[in-house]
Amino acid sequence: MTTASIEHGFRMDRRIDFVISLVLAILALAIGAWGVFQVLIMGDHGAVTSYVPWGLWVGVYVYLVWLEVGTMLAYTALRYGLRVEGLEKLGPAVALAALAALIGALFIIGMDLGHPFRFWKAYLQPNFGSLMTWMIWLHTIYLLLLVGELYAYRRGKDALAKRLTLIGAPIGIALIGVIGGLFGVIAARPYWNASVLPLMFFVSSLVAGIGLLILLHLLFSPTAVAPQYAATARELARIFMVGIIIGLFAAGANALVIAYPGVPAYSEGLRLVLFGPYWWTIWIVHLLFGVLVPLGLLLWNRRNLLVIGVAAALMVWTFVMVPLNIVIPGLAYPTPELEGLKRAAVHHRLSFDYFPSLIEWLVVIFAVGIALAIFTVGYKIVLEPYQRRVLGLSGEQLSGGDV
Amino acid sequence: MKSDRSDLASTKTAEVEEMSALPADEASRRSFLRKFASSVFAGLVAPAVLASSATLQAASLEEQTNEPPSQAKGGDTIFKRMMAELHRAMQKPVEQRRWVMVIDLRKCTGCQACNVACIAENQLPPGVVYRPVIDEELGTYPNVSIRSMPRPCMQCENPPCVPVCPVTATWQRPDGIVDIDYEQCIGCRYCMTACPYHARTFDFGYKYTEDTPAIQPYEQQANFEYGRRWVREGRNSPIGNVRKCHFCRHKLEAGMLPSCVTTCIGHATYFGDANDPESLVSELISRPNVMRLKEEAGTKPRVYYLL
Repeated sequence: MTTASIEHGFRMDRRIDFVISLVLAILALAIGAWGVFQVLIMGDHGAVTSYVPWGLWVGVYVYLVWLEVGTMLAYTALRYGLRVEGLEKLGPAVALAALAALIGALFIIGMDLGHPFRFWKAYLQPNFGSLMTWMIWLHTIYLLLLVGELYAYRRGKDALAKRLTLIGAPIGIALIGVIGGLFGVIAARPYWNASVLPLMFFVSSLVAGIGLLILLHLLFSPTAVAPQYAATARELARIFMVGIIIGLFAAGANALVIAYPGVPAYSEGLRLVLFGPYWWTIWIVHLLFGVLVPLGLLLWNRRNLLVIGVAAALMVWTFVMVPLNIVIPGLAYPTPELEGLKRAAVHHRLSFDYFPSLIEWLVVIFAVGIALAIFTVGYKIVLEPYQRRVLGLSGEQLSGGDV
Repeated sequence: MKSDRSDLASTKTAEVEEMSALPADEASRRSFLRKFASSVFAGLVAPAVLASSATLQAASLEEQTNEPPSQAKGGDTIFKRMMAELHRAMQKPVEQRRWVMVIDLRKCTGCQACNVACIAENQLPPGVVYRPVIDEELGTYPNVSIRSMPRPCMQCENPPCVPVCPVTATWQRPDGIVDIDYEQCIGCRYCMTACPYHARTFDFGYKYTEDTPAIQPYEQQANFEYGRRWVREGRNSPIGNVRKCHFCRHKLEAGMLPSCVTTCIGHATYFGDANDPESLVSELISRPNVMRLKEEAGTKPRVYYLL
């Protein structure tokens, strides 16, 4: 769903985009299907081990939740809280993107289960003492809210959609807090076990969400013809910069607190992140291409919408490395007292080394395919009719070219 | 000891006084006879007295220095005692038992017999281990040694793995054993992240003979964990589940000790009911040379180590 006319107005004819997007989604689903087959039918569990029981799937799940909730929260806060102008008609695009990410996330975490077809037990036989139960329930409530919201937009019930958006805000905050807490409460993993973790998840989610919001505004805002369009994008870029800097400061402060005492049981996870075998994921992919380059671009020319778009895309895309560098290193080492476990049994599933398998990547591609397919189909079902309505256009005008 | 010495001193004093009151030749003859009789008596009883004294000293030493229950007392006796204690405990209601395992690190040779017995008893597949034995090299040449430490599930009194389960598939029994319901477990592995001892492993579905012409019959046999019959086939539980040591609960309920206890060649693992003040484990865990892993975490493991 790309548009070449960001500076010149809203391109209403998205037929080619629709076809390209659908083809990409089908391609992703076709490629990933092999991985899904291996997991659901053959019982493949990827490359996770008994000592690193969570890997790529859980990391990507957290990433997608950050995007899904972060975008909705950013939109709600900026539109209804700070009253940033120009976001009025972006609601359906944001809700649709959130729904696509949410379903991709739920699919991927479902695939991570040892018994995926027992997922219903979390609904019918839940243990509400577990944060994972809260995560599943809040996520489901969020799913229903988003579906309701999109239904309201499609039916022209914008007031109901607004109400659902506002109801969704505290639920989204709770969801992010619960997922941060899900890791934070695990006292057995010192790298995770910090009261600040839910807050870090919230900041990360919000910053990534603002990035995605910018992209959605640039690509799908029906106000693209109005002068306000560029002003809104620049305003969002300014807020985005502040968000990145706050996030950078928070992450840096947290890292320093972990590193300063130099107690291996607590700092080993951070050492793995910064200097372990996959150091480049945080230094090169995230910090360089996801933080410094976008910041540099925005400082260099924040007026150019293409620059803003590239900066946001870089940041959002590379942000996946953050949850991966939280989830995996937190598990990838034993506490010094049990160091000998590394050698106590010889089996690749009894190892502290982990790198995602091909099957895991294929499942992620499949999940991306699901998200893309939902967004593409949702565009036809919800976004296009909505845009037609708010712009007062007929169906012919909508498919007839630039406005 | 002090009173013995004072008695001896007073006896000597009385003897000296008695001797000084007698004529010189009488005193000399009496002295000779007494010494002679003493020597003969001493020669007759000395071996028995010395042996008894040595045993007493050894027992005393054992208690004072926290020596392990020694084979000299009879390994079979220890097993018989633990079996009797087990039967006694099984007569009580489950909530009145408190199962405890004690592992004497001084006696563990790192032979892995316990681990192998556990694998055989519970039909553990490749990649699943309930009782790894952690070998550690200590010191620098020429002062080196190896310490072997079996690490079963600690059956913590405050188990961090239990509350995190989203479907209540794991819980703590009244006797302290942490159970897993394989049919309820969805395989999310959250409990594995929560265990400070890495005591939970995941059944990925491997078989030892899976790449051979035929899966061997021993891999198709059922295990009887948690008192139920489990055959690993297809994607049935316990494949796709989290698994861990359960103190061979199914054996306890049949009046037998856990496999790791009975197969330990060095008699380094003891098992019993800590609520029974007469039990061996009650004695052992009251010694000052006992420790538990990560005590600072407050999980209160029910597996104790003797150092």
